[in-house]
Amino acid sequence: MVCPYLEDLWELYLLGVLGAEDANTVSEHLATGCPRCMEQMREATLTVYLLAQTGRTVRPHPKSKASLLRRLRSH
Amino acid sequence: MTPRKQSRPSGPRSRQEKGPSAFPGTFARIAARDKTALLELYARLAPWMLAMTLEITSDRQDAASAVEETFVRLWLEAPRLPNKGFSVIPWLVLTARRVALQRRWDRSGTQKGSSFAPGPLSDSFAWLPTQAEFDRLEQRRELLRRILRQLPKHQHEALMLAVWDGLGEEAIAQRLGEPLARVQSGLRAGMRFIRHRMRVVLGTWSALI
Ligand SMILES: [Zn+2]
Repeated sequence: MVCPYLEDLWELYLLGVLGAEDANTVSEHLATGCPRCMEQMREATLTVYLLAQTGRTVRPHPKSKASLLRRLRSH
Repeated sequence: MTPRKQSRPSGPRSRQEKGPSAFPGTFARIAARDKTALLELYARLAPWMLAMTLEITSDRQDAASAVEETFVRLWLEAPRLPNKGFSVIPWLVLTARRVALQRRWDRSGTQKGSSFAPGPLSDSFAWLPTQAEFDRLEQRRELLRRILRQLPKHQHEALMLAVWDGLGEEAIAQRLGEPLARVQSGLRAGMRFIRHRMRVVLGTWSALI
């Protein structure tokens, strides 16, 4: 049963910290759709989402919306 | 590699600064190919996504391009946007983070992190939090801030190198001049501590959903 081993790895997996072997173990297990681990993955997603916040905001360049719109038109 | 700025973030934003939460109707409009809705979402999310990508890349142009790229991907995925109450915002943030790290690695000619890259949105529903979970984020945010301050210094340092420099465990060990095994066990212990404290305060995860 790989689930207990993975318990400590979800956030580190999402951050891209793990070595190849552990990362592969995680993604292979996720592919099985194990409900218990999916639940933990969703919890970890929220934690990583919060970790990646800086506490600041940066105003986008005034032309950034126009630039995005140009890219959208090409799709 | 560009030098680190002096005041790097050490955890999630404070409660005083309102993070994005629900966007009622916006994702449904984007799914219906409404460009105005996408631009509205961009206007609301871009300032703090840009702060994250700028922290990672230390380059204004790379940072902006990572955010733009993320919104283009969202647009391409629009017809497959979930309509079952999943929050797409974590997918946007993780995607922008990964694109920003890639820009940084491209510039420095090295890749020091490992593999995780959020796949297409349509493959990500299984791990996306529900909107209800996402709406309870404020409590979790404040708690995480407090817990991070309680982490031992070397665990905190290793974690921040992972978050902001995108370093993998081997690169972190090199950077800190520590044995790999110590870094691995420190990171795992740190995350275990965070998870345990969160569950004690917030109740078990299962009880939250
Ligand atoms: Zn499992």
